[in-house]
Amino acid sequence: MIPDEEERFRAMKKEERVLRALGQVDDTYVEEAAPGSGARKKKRWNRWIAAAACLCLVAAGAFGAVQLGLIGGNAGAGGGNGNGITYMFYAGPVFPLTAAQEETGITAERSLGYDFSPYRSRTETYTDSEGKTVSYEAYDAKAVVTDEYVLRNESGEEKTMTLLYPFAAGLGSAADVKPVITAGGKPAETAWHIGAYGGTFSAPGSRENGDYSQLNSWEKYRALTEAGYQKTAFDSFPDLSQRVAVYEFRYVSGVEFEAAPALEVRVEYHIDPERTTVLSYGFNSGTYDAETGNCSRGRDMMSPEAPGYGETFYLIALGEDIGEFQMNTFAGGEGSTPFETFAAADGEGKRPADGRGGKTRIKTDAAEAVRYECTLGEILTRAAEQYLDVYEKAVYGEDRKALLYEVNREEFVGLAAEMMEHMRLLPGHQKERNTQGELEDIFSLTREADRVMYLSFEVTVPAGGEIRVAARMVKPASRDYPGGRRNADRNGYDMVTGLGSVLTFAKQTASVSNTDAVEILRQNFGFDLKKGITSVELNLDEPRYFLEVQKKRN
Amino acid sequence: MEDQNIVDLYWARSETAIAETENKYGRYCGFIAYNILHSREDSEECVSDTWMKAWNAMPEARPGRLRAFLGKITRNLALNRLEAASAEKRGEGQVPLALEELAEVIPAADTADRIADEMALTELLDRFLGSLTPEKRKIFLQRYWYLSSVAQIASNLGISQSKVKMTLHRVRNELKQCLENEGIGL
Repeated sequence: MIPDEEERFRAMKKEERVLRALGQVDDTYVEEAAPGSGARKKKRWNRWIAAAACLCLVAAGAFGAVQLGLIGGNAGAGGGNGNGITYMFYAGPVFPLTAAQEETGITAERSLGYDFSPYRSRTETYTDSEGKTVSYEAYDAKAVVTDEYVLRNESGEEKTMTLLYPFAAGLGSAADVKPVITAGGKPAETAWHIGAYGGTFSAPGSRENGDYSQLNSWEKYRALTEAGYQKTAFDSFPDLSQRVAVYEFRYVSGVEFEAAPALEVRVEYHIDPERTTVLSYGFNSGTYDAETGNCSRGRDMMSPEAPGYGETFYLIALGEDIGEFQMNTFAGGEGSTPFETFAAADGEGKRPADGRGGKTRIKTDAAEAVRYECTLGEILTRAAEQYLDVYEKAVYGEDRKALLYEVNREEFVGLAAEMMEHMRLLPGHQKERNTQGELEDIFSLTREADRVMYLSFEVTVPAGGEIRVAARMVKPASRDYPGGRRNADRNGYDMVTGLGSVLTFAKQTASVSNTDAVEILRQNFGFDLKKGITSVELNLDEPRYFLEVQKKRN
Repeated sequence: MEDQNIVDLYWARSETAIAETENKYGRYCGFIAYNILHSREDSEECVSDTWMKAWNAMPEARPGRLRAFLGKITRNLALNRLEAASAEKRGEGQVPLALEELAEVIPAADTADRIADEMALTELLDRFLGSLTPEKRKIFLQRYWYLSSVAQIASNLGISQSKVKMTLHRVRNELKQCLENEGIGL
């Protein structure tokens, strides 16, 4: 302790010293005791736990972030499979062009170029807490990739076909990495097709711990492709026309955060897990006892500025309706004078047994619930709009919101429904369910999941002629995270030569350019920057090429 | 987003770090600050100051447990702010009640061999906490680290308020005994 602090500590009352010293106890104990860190018997969850898990997929966006130029290098051996390393964030390979038709009769020559100019240092500034402008060296761990094709029609007939250009992305990062396609030297008019979530949930129940499979290696993309993944981008979405019971909650007029910041609305109900699935939106805690079917969901009073929530929050019953339920409001406990109005009058409401079918209003002193029925699609759309409008804007700001908005609402809901099917939330899979059905998590995972997307466009290749097609994109590097990990500072770029493509390739080449700010650490391309070998012909029997670069240290 | 990713963003000086921290730990830190300060405005300022402290601490620091790292900053800032506040304001929130309760753990002056500084006291508290059952430890720290009310603790852990009060009383006695056995005065 520095002398001033010691003096200050000495000047405190004895009990204050204990209180202060407690503040420095082991982090493990602090975490263990964190409110909401778990009740016994019943499972208690917090929407942030799962959200945090699925948000780890956001790394595509995170590593679009500027990297500090002063991060030191480490050329030690990677921890992977001897053929490049296994990354914590895998950006996915560059895929080859393919076609919707199985037989095209077209031969293709491909040349793939990596331009590393984004690694060149530039000076950026930020303002520190004292208002000083601090400058630092920055660069982007990205490569500008140009994937060019010459398509030759050696037949005597003109051929018109739909080409598909696949790329790896999540909905949240797609707008940053979406390729720009040109055909015959002109911008191609493309349609965007989004493949399904490509991971798996390793076992029923595992989703609660955020344990699910990511697409973190090229082999996983290969397995998906070989299992016919491309079809998922063109399939129709799950049917959402089934009727569901919706319980829509809102605070009663006059209940404000300022007056009751610790207010909690808690709903307790019972379900037969075999017959009912409950989805929620806007609640932030809950319990679920699989043995008894007793459940609760709670929502704390949120500050008006808190991200993620609008006025309403929902419980949605799929299958058989929820039975009798109780809604209580809690004020935040003893010693909290301003809340006593609510504490003294903890309200309680019970849904009448004959309430099914009609509108039922339940009211406590602080909140009210209205029951109504609609289709699953309608309520998912309503919740998704709330999520996209409020949550996205609050977390990522207007710009990110605008990027995600390239995916229309209907499609977003369809993709979320696919995710729900994947999580076995839709009827028929009650026993195998992986989630408690918080829609925020489903929407978040829908947004951040790794996928393969396809840009489709039509081309006509004249008889005996050729056409040039090119895709240009900014590709983030696959990375391990900086900060002591042995693979830190390795930036990986993968490409696959033929995976998923129906085209017949006559030749493929690869090149690198603007490499002055990078050094190559590992590769199987055969580039040699010192000898000036920056372009190589690829062996078409080699399914995958990898390249790892590192920002040169000054 | 995982903690390590958030820390990476701090290290990369990306302002997204603040948004992600706020998203993930805003409520957690807000809870700590509010329990101490009992004022929404002050709590919000305190939480904002927490992000600023975290921003200035990283790089150099690379917290292994981001939640506890942020929580400690908030707790300290909130207690400092409370110390500087008017007597009227200091009377609100959980701190005065917690201090009253903690006064019970102070050993009689004649049992002390030495007066503990903060570091020595923290070391002893760590050992003491390690000796408690997880449930007792949670109840004790929820009260005196998080400054939660007895009702909040009961609700959070799914136990009765009387059990919380009884456990706190016993643990305070055990702590007093521990301080006396170690011959540590305050």
